[in-house]
Amino acid sequence: MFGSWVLEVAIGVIFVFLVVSTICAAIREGIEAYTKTRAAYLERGIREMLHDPHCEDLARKFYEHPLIYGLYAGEFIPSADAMKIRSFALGRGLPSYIPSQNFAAVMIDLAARGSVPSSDNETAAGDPGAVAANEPRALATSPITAQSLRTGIAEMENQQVARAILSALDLAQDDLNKTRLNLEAWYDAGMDRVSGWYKRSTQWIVFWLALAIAGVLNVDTIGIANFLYRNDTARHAVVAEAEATLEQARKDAALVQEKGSRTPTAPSGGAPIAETEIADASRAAMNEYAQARKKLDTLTLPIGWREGIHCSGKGIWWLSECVKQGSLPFLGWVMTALAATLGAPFWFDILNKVMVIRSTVKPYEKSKPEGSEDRQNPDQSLTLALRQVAATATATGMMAQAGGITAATSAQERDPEANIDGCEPGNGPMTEDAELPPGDGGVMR
Amino acid sequence: MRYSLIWLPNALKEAGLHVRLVDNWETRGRGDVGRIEGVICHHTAVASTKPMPTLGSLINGRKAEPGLSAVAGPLAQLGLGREGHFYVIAAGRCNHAGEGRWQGFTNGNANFIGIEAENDGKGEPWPPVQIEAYWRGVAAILMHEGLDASRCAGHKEYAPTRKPHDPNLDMNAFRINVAKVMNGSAPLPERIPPFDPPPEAGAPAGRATLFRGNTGELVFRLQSVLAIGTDGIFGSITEAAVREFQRQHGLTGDGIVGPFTWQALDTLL
Repeated sequence: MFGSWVLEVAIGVIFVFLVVSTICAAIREGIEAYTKTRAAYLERGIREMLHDPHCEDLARKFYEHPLIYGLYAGEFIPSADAMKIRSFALGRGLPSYIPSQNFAAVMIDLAARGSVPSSDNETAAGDPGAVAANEPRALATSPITAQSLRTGIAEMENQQVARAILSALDLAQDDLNKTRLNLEAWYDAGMDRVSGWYKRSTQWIVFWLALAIAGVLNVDTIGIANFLYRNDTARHAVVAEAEATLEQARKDAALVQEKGSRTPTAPSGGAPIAETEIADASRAAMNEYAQARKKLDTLTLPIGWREGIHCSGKGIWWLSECVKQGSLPFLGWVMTALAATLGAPFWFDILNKVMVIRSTVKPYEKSKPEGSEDRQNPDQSLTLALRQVAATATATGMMAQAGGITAATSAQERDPEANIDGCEPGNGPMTEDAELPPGDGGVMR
Repeated sequence: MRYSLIWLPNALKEAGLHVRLVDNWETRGRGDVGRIEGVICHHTAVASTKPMPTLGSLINGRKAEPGLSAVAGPLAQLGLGREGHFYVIAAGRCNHAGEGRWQGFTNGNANFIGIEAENDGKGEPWPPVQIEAYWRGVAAILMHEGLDASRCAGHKEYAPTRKPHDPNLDMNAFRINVAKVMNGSAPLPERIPPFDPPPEAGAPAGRATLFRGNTGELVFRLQSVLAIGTDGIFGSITEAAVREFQRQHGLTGDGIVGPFTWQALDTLL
């Protein structure tokens, strides 16, 4: 019916977007498992927050502090170009996450007691002045008080950070716990920026990934919408597949919740990341990729190059000729890629919403012709009519929203065979009674 | 590949109609259909007394003959025989409409389901059982697709210049009857009872209704009465003989041995 097929086409397209963005996210995670760009961005964020762009003083002390040192494997070697935001910056074993409690504790500790003297003299030699200056206080074991913190701040070299900690202390009115919370809030605000950098670089990477995938697998949004619009069977199959995926996701979520309540998992941010975990992460990403890829293949959609490329261009102008002739649906690919940058969670959410709308709009297409009792009951037929009116109204709203898709597909296209009319079968060979096929129906059982 | 109109037989059967499936109907078609926007009604314009003489042409296409060019089949998704049975020919697209326009739709072959009903188109009366099946069949299709009766067109309305007389029916009255079936104000379809009615109240029910595919003692008796080979299997030959017998005795030649046919057969015993 009217409303149902617009929604179903939308569901089909959204589902394809979901699958493609899942593939892209999986590949992105696979890349991330090796490059650990998050860690690199975190390092840059810390440097910026601590006003130490070259990692000479406070940022270095921060990373070498025992509370942070335990979060990563190996020594801290600051990289020279960490201040540039590059899409594939290497994390070099640094932690991808630092809990805000750790940050606040380290900052208070560094301010009140100065840097931790290294047992290794060679490392200490890198910054002899600072170590020497802080040596007497490093031995102090008396608990940190607001007063000792103030004294420590006064002696800090990094004036900007000193002011930040001082204002946190002032706002807390010398309450150390509140100071810690203030510092945590400061850190969280800084980390929002870091995740912003990561999101932006991921969006770019995913866009190019998705464009490549759309091109290689020929995932043409416009073509798919068109195909779904014309093909009832395929549309129903895709909708059923989308329903099954949502159902599975719901079950998985319930399972995870159940598991989580039984065995509390270790906070993922704190633990040092061992080699096996990198392998696990990349294996999980590979797994997700394989599943999504399989899903894409099983969908009965015009995806892939099964029909080949038909265009007559030659030589170096072949590509542009193909685009001109519409054999390479470039626009459709770009649409797919742009959609994929919005991410799998976004499309999952939208799919959920559209599914809910569809379940309320579902038309009465399968009503039985001989169900006369319902129809002759005036109350019921009235409610039925009202529901149909409501359904149509909702569907019209949806239609307006899904304008892009419908505009592309509802045009009356005539095709080469549209003019063939074989309506009169003619006096060709007559079919005898004994050649007629067997039948069924019309007899009471 | 199976085409989209695989729902046709069930929709028709649920409407109380007798449906006959032509072999490989699921995969037959000139490619797949587009979105279904309605039904176009035709007549076959072939004079005959047989129930569905044009079935072969509707499946395989039309041979060239004077005044008509050759056209590749299938020529319609559904055939409607004189006995009121629907023959499901193709689940895909068919060459039935050609150029024309109805309710703004101009690609009739892609967007309309074609029904070819057996009638010579020159005044042959439409048997009530056939015309009633026509209304019910069209109504069942429109209801399945969520369309109203206005989406049912005669070929003469879709292509008035080329096919001014196809089908030989008053389409406005036809649509009113289709609408009656759709809104439930038409009487329920009469189905053939499974047994002879008992001769008097309290007596056990009589002979079972026989149709193609049945076997057994009763089929033996039927075959011996019709004086054809007796093997106890109700196959295509027995069915053809039953149809012939029914036509000779003024009954609907549907090949189903129900109470009326048993009554007529009794006169031969």
